[in-house]
Amino acid sequence: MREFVVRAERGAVGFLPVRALISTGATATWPRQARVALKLVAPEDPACAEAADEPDGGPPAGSVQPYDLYRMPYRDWVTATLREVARAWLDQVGPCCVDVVDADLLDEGSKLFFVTLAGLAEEQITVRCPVGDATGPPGPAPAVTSFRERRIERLVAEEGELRGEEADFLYGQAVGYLLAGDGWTAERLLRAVVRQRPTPAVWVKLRAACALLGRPVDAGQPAGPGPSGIPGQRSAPEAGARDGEPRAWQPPAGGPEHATGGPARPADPTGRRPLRLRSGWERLQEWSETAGQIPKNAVHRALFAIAERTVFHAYETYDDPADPLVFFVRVKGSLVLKIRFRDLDTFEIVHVGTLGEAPGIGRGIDRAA
Amino acid sequence: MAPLEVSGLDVSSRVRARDIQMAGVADIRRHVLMISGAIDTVDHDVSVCINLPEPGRWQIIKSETNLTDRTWVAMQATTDEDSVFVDDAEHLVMSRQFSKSFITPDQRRLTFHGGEVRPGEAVVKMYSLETTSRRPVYAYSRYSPVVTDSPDMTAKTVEQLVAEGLPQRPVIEVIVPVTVIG
Repeated sequence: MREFVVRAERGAVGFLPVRALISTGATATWPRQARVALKLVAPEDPACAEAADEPDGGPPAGSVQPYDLYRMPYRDWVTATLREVARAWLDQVGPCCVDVVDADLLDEGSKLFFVTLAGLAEEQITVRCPVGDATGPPGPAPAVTSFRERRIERLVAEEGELRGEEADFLYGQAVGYLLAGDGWTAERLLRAVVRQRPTPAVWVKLRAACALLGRPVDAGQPAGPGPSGIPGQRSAPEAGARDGEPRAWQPPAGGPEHATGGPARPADPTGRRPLRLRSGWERLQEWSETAGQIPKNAVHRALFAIAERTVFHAYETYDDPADPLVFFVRVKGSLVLKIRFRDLDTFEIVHVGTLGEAPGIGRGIDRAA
Repeated sequence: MAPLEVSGLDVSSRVRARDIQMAGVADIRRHVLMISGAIDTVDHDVSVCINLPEPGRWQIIKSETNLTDRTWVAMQATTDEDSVFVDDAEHLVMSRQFSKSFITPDQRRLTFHGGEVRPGEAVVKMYSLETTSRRPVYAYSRYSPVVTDSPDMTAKTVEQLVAEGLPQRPVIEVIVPVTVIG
């Protein structure tokens, strides 16, 4: 049985130990779905595949897609995405044992990954959390960090005021992580940006990241860098654990839900508020000038379904392969709505009209067929 | 008539097609539909399915006899998703028994009020229905005042019901046969 050792480090960019672990395999040979999911943990890996580039026949049934982030509860989406990555890596390396050194420093995303990995197949994988340095032949897999990530870490740790371009860079990176579905990294970066640039745009993105994670925006940094707040400082080992003695991975009580350290979900099973129509109202008004009351009622009903996030259950919908944030709703007969998610809480009407007039719907129908 | 032995097919408790005579005649040239019938239930709403010769805009003239022992002070009709009531100056919405009518902005609910239909009396209503279906369905319900309510309280209740709609009750389904003329 192969053995791997990875070391957790506290940092702003998440999934560092996960990247170190998967770098022991060859991601370029992974199945396509795993390479699509890879974008969450290793966005700079050249093997990452875009869901939009789906070659033939669309994604396999049951596979999770990046745009599903807007359709299913975040925790479910992240878990399913991490499972794709974990499965691909495990299939490649075979039965193995993974030691996570300094597991108390694991970021929330990485913690969820190792919980998911440990739950894949008990006979194939053992994940342990030795306290102190791991013993055994292999040394820790080298951390995989890029220049971009090192710059992010430096700017987030910067105590002085960021220059304009530095804040722009950090904000742009945070938005990128947010769109990729890494709410934890996005939140850490946005909290660093909002300290110096508390503009509405930054607050909106920070609120979106917190909404994704299901916690209030004013909850503060959920997992501080250490007991004293100094980056890199470790917290005391758990009582009963002796230095150097590995202990088997025990998912925290409550399973992956609690493993991320976030608060309990709200009573709403989706954990989401209703979506708001942000723009495109003028398109609806323009169309309404000539439309009859029956199709108008049908469109209003569909818009309420979108706002309530039930549209994917209640209506026939098509994706736009060119843009994962866009989808079409077949409202009634040949009447369709084209909708774009602007962020996690808002959407806009891109088009309302007949099937033949909807720009780009041919691609979506071809894909669905 | 003996009750049906097959329980799944026994719809006698909810489908009224024989004992309550409700029938229509459609003038396909003028797009006018006349329906007459009676209602003898106090606890149910009535869902009416009309077999039209073609979809489009139809003027409906409807007469119903109150066979219950209650006085109706408001009547409400609600259309299915494929139909709306026409609400413009060219199309009359009127009733001999009710002086007022109200159509919601989505044109799917029409309420007549400001009058009464006493037991044994018939009510006549006229309105236009636009539908994209050949078998439009609409449900209608009546409101009878509570005996102990004062006239002021009844008026206030009716006002609220006009604004918010009558609460939904169990439904009796009626399929109206239509004879086409013209």
